[in-house]
Amino acid sequence: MLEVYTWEPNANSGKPLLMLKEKGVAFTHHYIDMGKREQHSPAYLALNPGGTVPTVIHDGQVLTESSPALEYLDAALEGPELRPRDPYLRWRMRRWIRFLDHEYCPALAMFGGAGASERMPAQEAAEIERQVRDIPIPERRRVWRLILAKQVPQGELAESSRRIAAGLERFERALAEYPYLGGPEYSLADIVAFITVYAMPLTRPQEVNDRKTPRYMDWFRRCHARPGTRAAFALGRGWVGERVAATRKLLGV
Amino acid sequence: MLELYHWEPTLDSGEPLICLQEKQLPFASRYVSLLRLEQHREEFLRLNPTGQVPVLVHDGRVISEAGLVMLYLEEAFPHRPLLPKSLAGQYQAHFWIKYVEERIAPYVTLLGWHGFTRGALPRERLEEARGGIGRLPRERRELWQKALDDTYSEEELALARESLAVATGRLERALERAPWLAGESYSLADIALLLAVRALRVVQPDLLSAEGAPRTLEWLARLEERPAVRETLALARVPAPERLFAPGPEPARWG
Repeated sequence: MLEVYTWEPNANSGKPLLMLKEKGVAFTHHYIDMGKREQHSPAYLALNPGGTVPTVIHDGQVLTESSPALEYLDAALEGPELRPRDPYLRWRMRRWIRFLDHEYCPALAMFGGAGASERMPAQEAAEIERQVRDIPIPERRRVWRLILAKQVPQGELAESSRRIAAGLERFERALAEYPYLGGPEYSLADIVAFITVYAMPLTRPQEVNDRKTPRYMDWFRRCHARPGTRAAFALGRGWVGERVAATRKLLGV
Repeated sequence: MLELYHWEPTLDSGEPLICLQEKQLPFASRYVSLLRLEQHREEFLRLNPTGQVPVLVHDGRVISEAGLVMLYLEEAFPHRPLLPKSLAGQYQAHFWIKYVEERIAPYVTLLGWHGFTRGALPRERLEEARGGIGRLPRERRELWQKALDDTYSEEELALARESLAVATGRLERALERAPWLAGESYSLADIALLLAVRALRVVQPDLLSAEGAPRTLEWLARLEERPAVRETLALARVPAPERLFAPGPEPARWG
């Protein structure tokens, strides 16, 4: 029995969706609408007290931290192995996942948050406090307060932009050493990266293009062409599908 | 051949040190004094450009980041296992190793540096540090700049304290359910948390009262009796290393 409570095939919420489609394993997708902030609802908090997506339940085992969950699922389920067996390459895979989880993806997520913030209606401070009160993780509460108050700091956005650009060199260097981020084979490192950056050739064409980042572009084409990728994006209900279609068109996939 | 570049047996250097002792693996110890800022010297930055210890060199391959070094040692040297056999237990171990890096280490080092270490350093040492950080990548340089200038905002300090309170609550609840963090057996998760909790005992002792955190205190006493832990703590070169802090992982910028 495998159940995935999550939102769109995008960033953290998309990690298990892409991974399970790569494995070719059947599961039930319970759609948690982050637009309606269903991840902070009492029903969801009873399942995952941290109020984050995704939550994966496998034979009664509740997994709430997405990257450790991927390692668990890879070991527990049938299908192609998505972790290198060599300890050094496995370290390399995990080093990428740490960098993505802790540094790179939060920089990208900040732009997503700033975009959502612009679309928010203006609200009284007391109303905002009422809405963030039940978010259990203090750092997440701060983020939601900034989004709802339409106050994502410009300085932090500029720093994130700098980091995103600097990270491109890191991708390009890694992909010069091996065809995939973790090594010779597609691995969890590629899954964690791709499900967040999949539209970058579309959203940052000045920086991500065949002239400036040829190896990264080649990696985008290979990842977009995978059957597992297509199956995972097909689970989207909202804006992800349009972005993927436009990115594929640009890449010629 | 195993070489470990490390500082004192505290967060984060203590993690692989205990791991190596538990597995009884011989290794060459390369002591890097963070108080003398040796981690910002060019020879060390060639090994790890972010200027962070610990770094393991195994037959010429460079392995960085405390938690990932432990996982590497476990997989490269699986004898005397430090991960549970069950996948559920392994998930818990991975979970806690990540939790320490993201939700405890950034805050305990921030509050520890701010409250203890910075004020105890001679002024010349702080000035010297400003020179060395120019060699770091920008993120690390800015983290150090803030630490040297001690320009943490009230909001940052409050968030650090609040996050540590959440973390200690979570730890206490986990230890109500099982004797060790990954379940029935001692694991890498206990090693990572042991060093975090020893630091926490200095920085926020109120969070570890006998009334508020009885299981955590009992677990800590049990861990501190282990021979490998005692031997590792005895490697200290300075008195009370648990009162020394250097700026650690960057606190999460977006949740």
